[in-house]
Amino acid sequence: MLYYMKDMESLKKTDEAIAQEAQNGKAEAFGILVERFEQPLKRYARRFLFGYTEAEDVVQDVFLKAYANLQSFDTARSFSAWIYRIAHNEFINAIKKKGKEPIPFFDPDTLFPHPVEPTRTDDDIQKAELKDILDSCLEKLDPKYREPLVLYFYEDMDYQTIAEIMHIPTSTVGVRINRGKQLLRKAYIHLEKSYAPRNA
Amino acid sequence: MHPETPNNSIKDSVLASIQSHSIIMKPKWHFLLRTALVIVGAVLTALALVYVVSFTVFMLRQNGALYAPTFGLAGVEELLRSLPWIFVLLALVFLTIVEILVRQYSFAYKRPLVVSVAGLTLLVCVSGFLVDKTHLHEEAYRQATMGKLPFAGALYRVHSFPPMRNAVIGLIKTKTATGFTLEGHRHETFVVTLTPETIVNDQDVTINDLVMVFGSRINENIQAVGVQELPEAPPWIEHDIHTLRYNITE
Repeated sequence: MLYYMKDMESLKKTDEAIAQEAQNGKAEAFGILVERFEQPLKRYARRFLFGYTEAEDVVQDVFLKAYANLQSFDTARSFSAWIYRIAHNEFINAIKKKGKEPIPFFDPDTLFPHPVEPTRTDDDIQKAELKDILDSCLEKLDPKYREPLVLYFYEDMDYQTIAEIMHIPTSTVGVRINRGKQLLRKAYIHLEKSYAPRNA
Repeated sequence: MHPETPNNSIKDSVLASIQSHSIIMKPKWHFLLRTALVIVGAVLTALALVYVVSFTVFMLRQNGALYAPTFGLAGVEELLRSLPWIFVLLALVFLTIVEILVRQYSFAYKRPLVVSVAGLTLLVCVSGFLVDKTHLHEEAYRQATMGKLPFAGALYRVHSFPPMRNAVIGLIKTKTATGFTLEGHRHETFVVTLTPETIVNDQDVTINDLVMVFGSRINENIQAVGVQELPEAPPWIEHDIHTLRYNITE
């Protein structure tokens, strides 16, 4: 009963409050954070590290790294953005280690300012449609387009949070998402054509 | 590979690593020290950058190249030719280091690289010009020539600021129908011809004024492209100019 009440109490607490408890030496508090972020980070890993068998191992490394660096977390800021930033770094390292996909050291998209496209009313319909396409065409996209699309469509993050995680300007996030969408549509059309019966 | 159990695998594994001390939480001072080192590194590099920029401005002012662009395209060309490229390169290296160090902070990475670098460059250039205005380098030059500047002394002694190739600094000795005669700091006399195309940056130039004449020179004759009055003698010819001024007044 006491255990159950304790569990209910922790449910009410914010991630930041729990992180503070973990910073003060409560290892179980960190366990709660792992529970809360395990599924979202696994989902992020599965989609961003598409085709990488060790995606779950990398997620475990994210939590270990987060624990080691927990004292660097500022509890006045968002814990979610902080742990996703660690995950981003670990995932990029995993991709680099494999060497299957190119991760350019410098991205010209971050060089110049770009206007940020305003959100349109038909965005929700488009979002649902593109989410389906994204599932079937993930592997066709470069990591630099795949990652913001995954964070935007599956993690429901806004441009600012994605910029915070990827350490890039907000306008660059917009550019990558728009280009990513265009590439997705192209890939989808190509995919549909290849599945269509030859003599139909 | 990490040990795995089917349920709650990651949570159990992470907590097991914490309890067995195979993963240790780094202390807060570790991060504070790292942040402090980055800030100190960025500030020191930025100061070095401002010093290099202000020294470059000082050099260009001493040899007159800083005024040259006001005399048109030929002047711009002369400024580019007179630029101390080693200092420009050094400034670029420092600028890159500062940008890399501050890039991890949101005020830098949230802005496009061009905006961030342009802002930094502007800040450094303004600071460089302000430092130059304090006459820090003039004083350092005097100390260096007296052997009283142990570390940076060589920097001031090595760069003896020769005037630009097409420029002469001196005092106006007499006015003539077509221009004036100029006494150079090495006591040589030049006949300066002014044409309608000559740009004179101070129309009130008169006898005994210190000027820099920029133009094409054949022996002692200079066809002036531009004339710039100098507010004070550069320290490397300060003594010569003082003697000249005394002679002309006498």
